[in-house]
Amino acid sequence: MGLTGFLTVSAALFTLGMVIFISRKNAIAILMGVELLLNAAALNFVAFARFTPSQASQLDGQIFAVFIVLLAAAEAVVALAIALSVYKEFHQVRADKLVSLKG
Amino acid sequence: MVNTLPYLSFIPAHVMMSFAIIFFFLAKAVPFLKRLPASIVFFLVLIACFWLESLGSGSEAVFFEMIQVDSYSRLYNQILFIAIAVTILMMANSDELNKDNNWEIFGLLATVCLGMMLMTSATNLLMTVVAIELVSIPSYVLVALNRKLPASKEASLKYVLFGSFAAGIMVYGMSLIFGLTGTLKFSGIWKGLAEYSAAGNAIYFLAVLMTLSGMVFKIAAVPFHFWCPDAYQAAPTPITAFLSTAPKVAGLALLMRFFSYHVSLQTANLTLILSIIAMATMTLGNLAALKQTDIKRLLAYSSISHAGFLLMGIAVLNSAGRQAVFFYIPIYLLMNLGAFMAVIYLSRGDRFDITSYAGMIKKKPLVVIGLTVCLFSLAGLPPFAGFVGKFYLFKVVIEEGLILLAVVAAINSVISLFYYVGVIKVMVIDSEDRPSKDIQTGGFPVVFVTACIVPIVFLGVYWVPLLNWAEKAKLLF
Repeated sequence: MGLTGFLTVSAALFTLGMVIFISRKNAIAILMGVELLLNAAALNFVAFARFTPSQASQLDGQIFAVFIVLLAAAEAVVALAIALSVYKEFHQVRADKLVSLKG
Repeated sequence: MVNTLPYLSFIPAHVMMSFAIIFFFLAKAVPFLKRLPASIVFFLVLIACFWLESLGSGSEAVFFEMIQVDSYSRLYNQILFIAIAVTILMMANSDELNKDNNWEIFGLLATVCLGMMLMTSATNLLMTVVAIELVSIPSYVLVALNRKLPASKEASLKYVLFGSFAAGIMVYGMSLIFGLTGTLKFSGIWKGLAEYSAAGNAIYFLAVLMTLSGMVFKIAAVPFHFWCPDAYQAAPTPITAFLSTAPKVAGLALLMRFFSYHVSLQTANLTLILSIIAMATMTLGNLAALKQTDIKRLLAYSSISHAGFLLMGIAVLNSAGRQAVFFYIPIYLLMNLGAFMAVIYLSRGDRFDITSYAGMIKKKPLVVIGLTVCLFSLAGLPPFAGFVGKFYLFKVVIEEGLILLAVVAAINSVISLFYYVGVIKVMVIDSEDRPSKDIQTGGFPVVFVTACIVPIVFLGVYWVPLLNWAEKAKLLF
């Protein structure tokens, strides 16, 4: 599979993530959509690093992908902790039902 | 053998990182540390960092040229330290945060501060991502800490979802830039993008716009502003004041450094993109502010519209624009911090409706006058400093011939006057329908607000000292 194949898969992942973020109502599902966005970017980086390596810094893409994985983990930890405390307070995590702040 | 000497120039960040770790882990575990007053310790750390920054000179590229420590980053870091120190003062005077958790809160603030220091000196896309997330992730938690308002958890959840969405789009954009140019350095990417921008390729605009989204999220500009009103309304007021100033300043510093490397070929289309964002941001922020009934929400929308005004200075993409932004930032800090301190003082209890301020002038005349000055200055009325700051922003925009942007900004200044004056009218002219019990409070907030409005009035009449200081911003990079 060439570069185009990888880019197609990552574009598909990105689109899926977008669609999930916009259409799903559950906060946890929205978070899963965000993870897809991040993974699409990570896949892009690895693919570019493999197929079009730059002479100056050949590992840039791979390193960036590792950082994206870390970032996704850190964000998931905080988001799930906050979702838990929201559940304790409101007994649900549906984004369309959390409407105490408006305007 | 690696030469370690350049790393010494980055000492303030090392200090801040060490203290973030100490605040998180040691303070809870070591009995001796637990008894120390947390705010004073953090205050001393900030003073030490400020001093260390003032000692530095020259320009060094450290950490594999991911970070550029120069006079630009040093100046912005000092502004950030001041903003955080003021936030600590405000936290001591607010009852919305649980004081038992001071060590953790300061650990989070120190982490945010480290992230902002990386933002002001990042010259690499990877460092940009790390810095932005280092600011964002503790901010999500800080918003949720309001012990009086359960809705703060909800606001925090919305914040974290939008924040990670913006981060996801940003890293995807960065991956496109990396694919197009093969480099992550700011200096390399604009050169690498030159041929694509010359051909007007769609992929160029897509990559730049996506990368912008994360940075724009930090300064709460359209279309990534949705989190801002909710987070600002529900967060503890000192944290609101902090979020509306320091990360915004750091985000602007990052944007300016990011765009300072562009090649002249790209000036026209980047200016177009940025001025469209600026116009949309100020218009949307102002129109939404018109119908707000909650003072913190109103100030949130006002800070969105100010992000639009500050983007005007970035959109011209030259050193005069950077100087105008740099000139406006201290004024913006004074106005916003003063206004939020007055809000803390005027709304003891957890009511932040504007109507609850009716007739406040009789009860707390000094602070009401202070808030009035801050609001007039935010609206950009002479003779206050906000007018001078906006004047310079308009000047650089008109000099560049961006007449449409200047006209939209002028109309927005007029619109913003409506809602600021609305608040002042409630406080000064309306009478209280049912007298409430007056709660006695200390004199500190009065001193604080006065300390903010004296420079606002002074600089509004005689702004040469600030102008001389902003001259330094010309010599940056």
